[in-house]
Amino acid sequence: MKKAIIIMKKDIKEIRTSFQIFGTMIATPALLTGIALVTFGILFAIIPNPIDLYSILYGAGNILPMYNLMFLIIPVVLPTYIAADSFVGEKVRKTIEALLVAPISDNELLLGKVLVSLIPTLLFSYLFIGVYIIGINILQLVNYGTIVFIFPDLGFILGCLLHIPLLCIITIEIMVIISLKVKGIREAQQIGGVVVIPVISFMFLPFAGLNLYSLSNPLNIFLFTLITLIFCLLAISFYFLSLKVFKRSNIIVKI
Amino acid sequence: MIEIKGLSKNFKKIKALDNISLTVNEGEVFGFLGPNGAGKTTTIRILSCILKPDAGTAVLDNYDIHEEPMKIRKLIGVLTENPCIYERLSGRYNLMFFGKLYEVPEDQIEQRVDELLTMFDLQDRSNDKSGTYSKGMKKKLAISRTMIHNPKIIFLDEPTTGLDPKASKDLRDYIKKLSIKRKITIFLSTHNLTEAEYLCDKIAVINKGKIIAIGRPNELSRMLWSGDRVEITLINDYKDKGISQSEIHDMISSIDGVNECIVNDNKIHLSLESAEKVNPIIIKKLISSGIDIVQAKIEGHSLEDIYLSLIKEESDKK
Repeated sequence: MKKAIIIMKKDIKEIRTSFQIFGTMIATPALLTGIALVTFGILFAIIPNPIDLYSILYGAGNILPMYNLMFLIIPVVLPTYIAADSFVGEKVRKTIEALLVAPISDNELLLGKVLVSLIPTLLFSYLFIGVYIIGINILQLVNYGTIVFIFPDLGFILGCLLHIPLLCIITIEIMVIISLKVKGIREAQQIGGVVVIPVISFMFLPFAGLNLYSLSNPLNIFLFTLITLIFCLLAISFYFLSLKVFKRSNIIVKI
Repeated sequence: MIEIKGLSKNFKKIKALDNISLTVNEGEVFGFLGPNGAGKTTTIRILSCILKPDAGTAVLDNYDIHEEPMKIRKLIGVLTENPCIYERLSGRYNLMFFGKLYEVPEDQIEQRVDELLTMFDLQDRSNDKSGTYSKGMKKKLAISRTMIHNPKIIFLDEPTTGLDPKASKDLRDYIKKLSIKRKITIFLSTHNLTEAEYLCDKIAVINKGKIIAIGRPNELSRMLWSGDRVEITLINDYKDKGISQSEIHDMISSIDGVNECIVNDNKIHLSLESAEKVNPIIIKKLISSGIDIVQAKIEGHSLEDIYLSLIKEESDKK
């Protein structure tokens, strides 16, 4: 574990020196949060009666659930950038061999590389979700002089606590597998970007009347449980697959 | 210190290593020579426990590569062909990072890093990003990284590739010093014959995954060429004394133990069974015939001759 942390610290220091990666890590969640808050700011301004607010946000348009789901993009997008630089970057910059000859086990090396994607992603995800939550409550206070509905609700809290780490882990595991197959950082990012597509499709669930994070009816509770289980299953499957492929001898022959 | 027994490795249909065996003694500088793609890097990667052989094994300081790879990694230092340094980070951070990975005690790590930075003249630029270093400085930093944990065995894969002549010489001198003063076992993979000639106690020549010769340079020379080569320089007035080149040739060729004689103006090139036995007879005979001699020197075979002959012999066989 100690050596995994040494590798993680080194990678984070390297990432901090790269404006391209560090900038993207901040810009992506900042942009999503900004878009959401501007949308709600406009919406609150054009809905004069707070009584109508709840039905509009959760009613026909399902605007709030859709925006909530948009935050699932963060734990998928950020690891594709970080992991591509951390895994494939070592190959591209020809530094991987010095790491492979060092006295560190395959598992410690993998863990170090996973942590470098996991920790900043969770940090930035929760930081900007925090800004989103506080922002929505402040906007209500500014527009209506009171908090009309308490945000977030239980469904969104559970979603953040369960789905964000799971999606982040799945993406990192997929990136580990991709990194062994590709030779360039951009190639890894492009292939990794495909993972975002199924997540974006979640954003359309509210249009079909399926409100993933509204645990008020049995169908939604079933859907939430099912998706959580699928995420768990995928995380476990990809974990074993990445452990199987992440071997020194596999990495060295692909340089 | 290093014992390789029957190592083989295939990459799909390509035979990278074909049943190689060799021994390197403690404190020895062992040269591993061969053309590009001969199997030098594959051997180093197997000995560094990052690549598994298809057959055979190797023992480094009593640890088997199959059974105790982690212990082997702790006792070796590997200078890969690429410097493998993190260019976005400073030279000092690079060394601190590897020092921690190699478990250099916390209270000694800074001192060790400073020692290496000073030794390699990198102290002034130690806090600059290593990406801004010159090629020579990067190589020096890479060697410092290899040395950070005081390894017992060092693998050097083409250490002077890409360096200017001055930096190459400095590096060679440092490697020599390491082997003499610190008794570190050095496994040097190279196709730079000057480098190997200057540094190595023993060499192995590898071609297409097979070891085609192994031994000290003079042993290999004897293996390839029977006898010695001698060059005698004459004072160029023998023609004035009425002696012709063909007379000199016949006179020398008639001596027992002379395999070949070529007379070219004032130079006589000889191939003798034994210079020690035959050369004094030749010299006496020349002097008694009134021919004056400037010098007689035994010509050894350079490592380049040995290497090229071995490679040629191997390809002729095929």
